[in-house]
Amino acid sequence: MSIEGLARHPLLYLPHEIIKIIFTELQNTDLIQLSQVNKLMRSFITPYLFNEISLSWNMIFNIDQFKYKENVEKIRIFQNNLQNEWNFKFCEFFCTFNNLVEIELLTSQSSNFMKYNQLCPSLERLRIKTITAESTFGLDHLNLIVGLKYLQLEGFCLSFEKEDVKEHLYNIKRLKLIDCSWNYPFELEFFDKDNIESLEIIYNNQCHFFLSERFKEFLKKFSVTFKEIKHMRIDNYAEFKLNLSNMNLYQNKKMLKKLELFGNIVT
Amino acid sequence: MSSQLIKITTSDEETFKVERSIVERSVLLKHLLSDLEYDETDEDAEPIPLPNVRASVFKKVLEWAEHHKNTNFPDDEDEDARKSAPIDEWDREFLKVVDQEMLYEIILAANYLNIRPLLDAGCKTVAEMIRGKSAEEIRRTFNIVNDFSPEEEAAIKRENEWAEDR
Repeated sequence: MSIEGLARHPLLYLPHEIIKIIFTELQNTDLIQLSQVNKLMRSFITPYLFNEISLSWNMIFNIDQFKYKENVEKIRIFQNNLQNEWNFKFCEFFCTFNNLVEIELLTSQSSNFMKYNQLCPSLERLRIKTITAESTFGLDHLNLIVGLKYLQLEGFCLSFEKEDVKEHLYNIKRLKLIDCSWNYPFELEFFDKDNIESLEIIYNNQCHFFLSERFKEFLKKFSVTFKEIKHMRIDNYAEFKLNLSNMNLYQNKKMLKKLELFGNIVT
Repeated sequence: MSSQLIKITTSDEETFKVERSIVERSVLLKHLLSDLEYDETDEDAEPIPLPNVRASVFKKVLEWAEHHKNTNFPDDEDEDARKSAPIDEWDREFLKVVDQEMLYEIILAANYLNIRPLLDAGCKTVAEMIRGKSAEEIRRTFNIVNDFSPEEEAAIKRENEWAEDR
């Protein structure tokens, strides 16, 4: 690239760290357009463009045609397929994509199939959504994913025994539950209550668990049971009100720094 | 009272005299002042050299810092709050009236001087110039020439299918 060439593209003159801030402000559709602008811009943008990719099962089976495997940090599988979920070796992803740290997955039923997948030590963030409401999620499903720091579950009924939680095995710091419920004898604190720093609980119109006594019992004591909790967020977008009046959510004032309530909530 | 001001010399040898509260909007200069134990009451204090910033750019940075003398910005560490915040109206106008080259120089200066809110506003302004535009519109905005052959363009579109949101 000649000096005049650079002068004509001062946008590309900016250092890497600044370009990175600009790109985080943009959507993938914008990055796709940018990558078609010229050769220099394309070489610049490729690492960001393929940072997150969305795959159908058909694309997964044809992954050899994809050139930019090194750039992928996040994979979204947007199609559920019961048979493939059980048969596919997810560990193969980590051989194909050396820098993969996050998977977002749509599943047909329970997350049980993950129990039988090979160890994925480099997976840090996992988001699973089930299309069948009330499918079971158990923490033992994650036994082979030891490095997990962020877990997001959607549509599940959480259920596992306290004994399933192997000490020092999980390192989950952030837990996000969307339209999830749980039944006796399961308590949310069976998740690593000494480790979790951020808890986000969201209800849309699909699940009314937030109206239950169990949910209120949990809210009454969470700031004490979760010893390291710094951030708690509750969203309710269902038509029924979540009534939190007369409830002291701030019992552990020392740890809990940020409490956020959004949507249809009365305090 | 002029002795109460901090002296700063830009790359093109122009010396500015600035109030401490304004200078300290720059984290770099703030640390520098404390490391040097800079004493603005000392008439003979040496000016602080800024070898990476031109006078015309530094003047704009000072104009911004003067306006935001008393603004409380979100914590530099709070990535989420910074990212989701819209551009401040005054900043938007301030950055809109400068030409593209000056905008880049302000961004570079904000990065070097470590002024996070100005850097963010600059980057968001550039992002807004790109957002929602087609490749051709981006070329026109930034004065970039298309150097792809039609075959290359077709190949790129095929490759990009892997990046599409679904």
